[in-house]
Amino acid sequence: MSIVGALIETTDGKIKKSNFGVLTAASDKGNNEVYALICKDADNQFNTLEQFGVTRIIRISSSKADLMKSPDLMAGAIIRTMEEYGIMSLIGLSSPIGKDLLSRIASQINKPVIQDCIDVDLTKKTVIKSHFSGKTTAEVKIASDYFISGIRPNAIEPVKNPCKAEIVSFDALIDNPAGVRIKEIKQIDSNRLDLTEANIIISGGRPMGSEKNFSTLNECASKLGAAVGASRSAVDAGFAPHGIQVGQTG
Amino acid sequence: MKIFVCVKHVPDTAANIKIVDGNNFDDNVKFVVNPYDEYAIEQAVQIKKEKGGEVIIVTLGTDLAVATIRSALSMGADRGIHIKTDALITDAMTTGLALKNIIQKEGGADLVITGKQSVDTEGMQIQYRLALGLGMPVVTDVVSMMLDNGLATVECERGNGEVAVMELDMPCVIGATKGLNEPRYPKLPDILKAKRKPVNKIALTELVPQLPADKTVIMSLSAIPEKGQANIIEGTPVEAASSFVELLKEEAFI
Repeated sequence: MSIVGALIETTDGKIKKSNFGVLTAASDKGNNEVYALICKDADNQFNTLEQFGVTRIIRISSSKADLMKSPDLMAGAIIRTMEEYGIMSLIGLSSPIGKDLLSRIASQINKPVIQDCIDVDLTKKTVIKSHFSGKTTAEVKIASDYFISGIRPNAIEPVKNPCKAEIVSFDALIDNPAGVRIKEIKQIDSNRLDLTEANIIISGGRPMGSEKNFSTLNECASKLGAAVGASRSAVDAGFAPHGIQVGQTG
Repeated sequence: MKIFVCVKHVPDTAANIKIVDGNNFDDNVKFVVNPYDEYAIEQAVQIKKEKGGEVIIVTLGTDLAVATIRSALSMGADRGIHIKTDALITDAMTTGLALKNIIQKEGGADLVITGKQSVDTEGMQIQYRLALGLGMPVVTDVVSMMLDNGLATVECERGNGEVAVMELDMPCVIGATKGLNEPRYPKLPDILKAKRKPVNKIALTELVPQLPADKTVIMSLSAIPEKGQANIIEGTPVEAASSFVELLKEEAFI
């Protein structure tokens, strides 16, 4: 059985639902040993990871540095974890945070990475992803001893595969001076639901006509418990902030 | 300041992509400057105006890619370097290595800016490869940046309505995204001036004589079928709202 590492993301201390599709991809119908790699506390939810085929949960930290202070520190700690546990396949979310981490990891070890995949085949070492802004899909092969990829959030349907996971803690002992330092996380829109975690998305296009009209979608969304997205045309016209743009072309 | 901007020549996102030979595409379509790279070019030109220096455009592509270099020059960059290849698509590991090699050949950079991703191969990683190769810190999804005394302070989008305020020592690599600035539309005099700015050419095979062993390979491209027609709901606002609610219940299961 191959070992596959799955990078787990949390938000407000909760394990994001979109991780479950990543775990399903990593498991490959139970053919792989899945190690969940987690750098933030979410201890009371580890049983949810066990529902999706995780056999080992590795809680990564460093006694010499706060990993939250820099994405370079976190990437370095994950690389040390991969070396320690013999992980040469790593899958995560192609969310803004996940994409950044996976690219840092792949670049630091000088191995390929493919982002925003809608399907992966760990046996053939191929992925399916968009090319040309959603006009085509590409089947891409990773020709390398490593397989590092980011999954588009919610692209892979989660499939339960319950098992028991061993929980281990790993001190990555990383203390390199960070290249990039996080000073502050600012909330610029506290009412905005994470598009990738939303069950329902209402997306507005350019025919909404104005920023004022567009804001009526927020009222509708709050009734449905939905998130609001916007097409590129609507964003370009100034009706909606680009942070809620769905896709590149809309 | 010596600022390099890495710019890609890409098919317009409105272009109709025709697949050729199973894993390639017909390049007989309109090509443009990669939209995310426009924010990078604009930022570099603004920084040059404020702090002085030089903005150098680097583009890897076929001979047709020179048009994109000229577009970047018409936005105010000073000169261009065309890394010539015959292939329409080049693997990210090779591209990152080529860009790093040319910047080093040119004596290094104070700042490197590129778009956060290309709209064709959507690799989302060149900035990282470049940064590691050059030994510089890197950030992406940058929506604001300030340079002061050898330090770059940036705001990066994180999704979920959040931005991270980050600090990097210069020289550094920046991945620009929408919101960083408003790219200018060059006027005719700028476009004419751009035709006379120097563009030097160097072959990819000269810059990267040995391709990296590890790589990604496009095995096939498949067209995605056109989406269905929009469902237009008729009637008065009250009737339409009622029909819409029924649709949500019956088809969207809300």
